[in-house]
Amino acid sequence: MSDHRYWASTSSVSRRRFLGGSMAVGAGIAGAALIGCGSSGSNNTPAGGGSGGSTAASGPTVGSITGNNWGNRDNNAVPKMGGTLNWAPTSPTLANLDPLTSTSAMVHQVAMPAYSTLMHIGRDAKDRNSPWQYFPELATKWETTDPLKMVFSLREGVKFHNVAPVNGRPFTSEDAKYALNRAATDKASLFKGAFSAIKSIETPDPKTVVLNLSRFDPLLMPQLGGHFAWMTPKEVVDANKIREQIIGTGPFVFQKWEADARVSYKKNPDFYVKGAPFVDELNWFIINDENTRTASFQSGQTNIGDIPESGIDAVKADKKFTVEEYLRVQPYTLFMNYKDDRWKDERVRKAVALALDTNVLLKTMQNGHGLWRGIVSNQHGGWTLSQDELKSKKYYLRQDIAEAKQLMAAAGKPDGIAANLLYVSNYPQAYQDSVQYIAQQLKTNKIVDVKLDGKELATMRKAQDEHTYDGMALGLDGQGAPESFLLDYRTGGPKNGSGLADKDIDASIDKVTSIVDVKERQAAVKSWTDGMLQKVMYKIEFVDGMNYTAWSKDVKNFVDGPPFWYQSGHAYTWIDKA
Amino acid sequence: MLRYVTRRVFLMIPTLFILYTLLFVLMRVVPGDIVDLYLEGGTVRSGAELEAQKLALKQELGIDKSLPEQYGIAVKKLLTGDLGQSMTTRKPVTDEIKRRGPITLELALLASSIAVIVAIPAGVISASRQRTALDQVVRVWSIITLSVPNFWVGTMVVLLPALWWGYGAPPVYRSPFEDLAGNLQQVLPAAIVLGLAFGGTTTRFVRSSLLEVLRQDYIRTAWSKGLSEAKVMQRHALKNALIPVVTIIGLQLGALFGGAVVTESIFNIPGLGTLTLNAIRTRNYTQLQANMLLFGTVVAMMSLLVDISYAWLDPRIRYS
Repeated sequence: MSDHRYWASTSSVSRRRFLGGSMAVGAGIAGAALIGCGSSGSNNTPAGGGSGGSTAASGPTVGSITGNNWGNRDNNAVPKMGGTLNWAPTSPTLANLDPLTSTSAMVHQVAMPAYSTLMHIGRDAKDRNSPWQYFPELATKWETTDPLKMVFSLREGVKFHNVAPVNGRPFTSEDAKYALNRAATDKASLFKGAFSAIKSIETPDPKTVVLNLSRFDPLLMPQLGGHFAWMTPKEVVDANKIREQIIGTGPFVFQKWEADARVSYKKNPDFYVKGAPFVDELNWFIINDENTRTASFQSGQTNIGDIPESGIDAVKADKKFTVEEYLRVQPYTLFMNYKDDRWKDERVRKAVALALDTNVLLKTMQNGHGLWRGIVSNQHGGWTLSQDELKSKKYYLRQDIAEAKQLMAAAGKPDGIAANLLYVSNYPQAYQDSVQYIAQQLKTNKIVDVKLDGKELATMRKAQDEHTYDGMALGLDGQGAPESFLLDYRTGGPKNGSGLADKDIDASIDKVTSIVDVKERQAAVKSWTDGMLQKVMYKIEFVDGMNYTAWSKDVKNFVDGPPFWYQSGHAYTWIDKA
Repeated sequence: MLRYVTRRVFLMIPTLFILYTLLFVLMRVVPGDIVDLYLEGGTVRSGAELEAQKLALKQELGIDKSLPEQYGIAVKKLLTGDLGQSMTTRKPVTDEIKRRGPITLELALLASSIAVIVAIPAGVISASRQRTALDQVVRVWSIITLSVPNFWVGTMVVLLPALWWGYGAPPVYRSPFEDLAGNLQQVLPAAIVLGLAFGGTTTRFVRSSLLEVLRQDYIRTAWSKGLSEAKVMQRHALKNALIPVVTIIGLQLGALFGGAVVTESIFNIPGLGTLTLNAIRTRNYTQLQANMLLFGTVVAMMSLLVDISYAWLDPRIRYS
């Protein structure tokens, strides 16, 4: 039987990632126990890091406590109990606490310590650019041999937090069914599309959840591991408290939300991984200003920090901190409005691409740290074209002014065309520099006489999403799973900022995403990417940048979740007090 | 005086009503609303499904109706004292205003006090020692505090101690009744930054106003009677010079109450400024309207108080 297990086959890809830039993230040796997926046709055995336990240290090792539930940095380390973790996440606006009615990353960051999913997505703790894997969470086993059926076996002994109105009752398959149905069908849910392939959910017994699918969807499995699928209890929703209260099955129990100040948690004494979490308290500080967040970290007010590019050198130089960097999707993308006749000629689109130097944009957007991106993010090894391929003459991400001018002349526009460039006027400096660079390059080389059109975010997003902008837009895209990048080219796609509406492209995307075998699908995605890049299909996605997480040296075993999936590694983090 | 005050209070009503109406219309005609922001990261894919979800959200928030209809409903509620529900939290907008108002008031009062404590002596010294080195120092200082953006000063005040000494103010606001030391650690630096900025402007007003008064005949008479400098300044000059100064201080206090957005953000003070900024960012119309109405009321009241104070400062001024 072909291997359709989405993530399973990625576990056979080497975990070493050649980055081609100045990135040499420690590519430690991944333990064999991290690759938990069995042979084709069998049940998925979850990945995990539980090889520890054989040590002379006093007290249980973190490996023996977490088992295969987590990928630890050192399974033989002995955790210390107590203390408080303080973190100030990057997204500023926290409107309410309901994860389904807000797309703001803030609510997902602050709510993640309290919620759980059926399984979660993580990486090899020692190689932050290694392929992603699944770890057990509320489900300890899952069967996905039938592409139209998923069967999850739930963990024993899981309880909701002992807080009214849920009062610590056991978590069952009915709760999973409720939470997934809410995400898929509630009129207020902003993530219905994530579960559109689910036809029905059955619960043959309290420990088994069966998802019957209307079609194979390669994105469903990763969505089930993400914040869209957090297990929110019915009682809280029915009591109309979901916007202000968090009750889940996660390692930490929500205490209170002080608006624009803090969300605080205490450890869950009934957490299903006995012996965890290790810290007593967790605080999410809400700090709007980037500089203030960095200062809070450097002064020890927070002990874990997301550090912006501008502040990273100072933090790296300070021996009190550990800095980890890993690839992320740099979301700034140049869209050309599909409805605009000026871009109908492929030669004009290619000329625009050739006029821009991706290396310069890497410098402006990411201070030179990162990789060229075709379509799919480089985070997904095996799904992307190589850096050498992307830089080749076959595609148009390289700079070649002479060729750009030739193309414009061949298109009958030797003096260029005029067009607006819509952008967000209050975005960070890196973005503003990129806008200026793009405008200046296109104008100076007589490719496009650019008129800048700056708007604030909501206005710009409306224009991008409704494709009402004139000319071009330097907008936002970026996704989680590899196949989801293709969906941005689909008619009505979530971040289809160009407004591309081509039936043939839609059909090709459907064809690729319906391939059940993972390896075949990977190859098809690359082939599809090749075709789209050769035509510069109304958008240019420049680079993938770096994310930096830093923590003070006394924080141990902190493993951040992958971008786009909010999950709490804080359960297995401890503070090494002197 | 009572008739004057009553008339002024009643005149506030149409002023605030016009402010409310302008804001109501302007916010809703700007492209992009809260629903667009809600849905921008969602996963609903097809056009029809997306439109249905937009409509459902708009109906829930009451923004699916026509502009005149929305306005009529809002005014009807306003007349009964209901300022509406926040579009993000779905709780009464007054909840957050009540929670954050005292925080911003503390910041505004502290900043104004610092501005006055610094500006009046500085202005007096500068005026009384006109054209001396001391006068130059004060004038240069006031220009610097006027010119250097206080968001930059604020950022330096936050960043440099963290970099040099590993010091940072507590990131969570504490009420002065709960933890005075913690409260001052966070609010005092912000108040000093704001206070010095306003102090520069106020110093210049004190100086120029005092210089004008010092040239008056009655001041020459006071000198010729042999009164000391201190008595001339305190009894004769300063009080008469204070009218424009009181005006500027009153307006500054009103502005501080509504406008210390950047400083609150930099120092992480959860006051009305950050509430307003977030309301603008998230297109939370109801919260923004309520905040603006409050700021308008505060500015109008401050303006009235300033006018009333003229009568105390200058007995020649009488209101009827």
